[in-house]
Amino acid sequence: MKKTMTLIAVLFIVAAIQAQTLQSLFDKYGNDERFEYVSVGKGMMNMASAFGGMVKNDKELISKMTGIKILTLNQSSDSPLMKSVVRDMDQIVEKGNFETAVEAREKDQKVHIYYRITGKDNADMLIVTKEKNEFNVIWISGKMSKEEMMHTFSSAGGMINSLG
Amino acid sequence: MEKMSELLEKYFRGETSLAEEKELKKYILSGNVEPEHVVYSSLFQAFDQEKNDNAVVPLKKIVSRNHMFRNNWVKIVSYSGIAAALLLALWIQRPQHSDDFAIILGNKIENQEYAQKYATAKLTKVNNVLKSSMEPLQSLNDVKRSLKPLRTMPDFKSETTE
Repeated sequence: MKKTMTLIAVLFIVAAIQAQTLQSLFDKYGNDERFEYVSVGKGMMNMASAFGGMVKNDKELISKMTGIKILTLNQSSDSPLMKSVVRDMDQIVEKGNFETAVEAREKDQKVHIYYRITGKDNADMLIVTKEKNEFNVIWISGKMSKEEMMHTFSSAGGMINSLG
Repeated sequence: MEKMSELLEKYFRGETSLAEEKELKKYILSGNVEPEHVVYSSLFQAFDQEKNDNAVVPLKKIVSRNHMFRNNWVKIVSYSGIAAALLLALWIQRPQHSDDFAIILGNKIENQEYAQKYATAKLTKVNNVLKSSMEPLQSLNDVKRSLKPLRTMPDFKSETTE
């Protein structure tokens, strides 16, 4: 019993540390004048059109999303700040138990989509876009299972699944 | 006079009634007392004087320790309750910060519509990249779908050769 309790406590702590790491990135750069930071919480339902292609236009799925945070840096990819942010992001993805869902590239734009499940049905989706002079981190959190999270990529993930 | 001597003895044993005490006091303070009873006159005079004295310093209320502890405990609980109620009221009354905001060039813009439009634009951009980069996969899917009828071909071939 004691062991189970300890294990649960450790899992909670690990989950908290993971969440903090991603949160700390937004806290670190959110108030920096060189960045743009946008947060949407309750208004997610009004953004169904934004998920038109990505989500199966499923209102129920959107209602499970609890928030979206976007951090944008408009600087040259060679700038020290850009390099530092990209390095921070890579570390978060590596240490935060994120799994790669989609990697896409168009011209000079790269899109990486990662996801992770923390605790029971708590999911984080991380969309990282890199351009020549722009870097975006989009963090979508929600109460979703792994399956529901994969449904979010109905246009991309669905296509990959059908080929398999 | 023997009666007074008996009364005095009874008085010091604490057995006299109020009427007897009144009688004894009247006798002693009358000035007409037996020589052996004169010593008590100053004592009774002092008692009589004390009766008319007023307390200069307010009397201190002596409360038992248990009672004090209980009183303190009741006070602590009451004050904690009041403090908790005040905190709850402040928490309920606190200005509600919206989750929908944008920070552009260090300035916080608490505009839900702006934040939603900004997020929608970013997601649409991601969406477009995904769509165009997944186009080859779509073509592959189409090819796979069109090749599906050919899967039945071997069965047809084996049937004709037989």
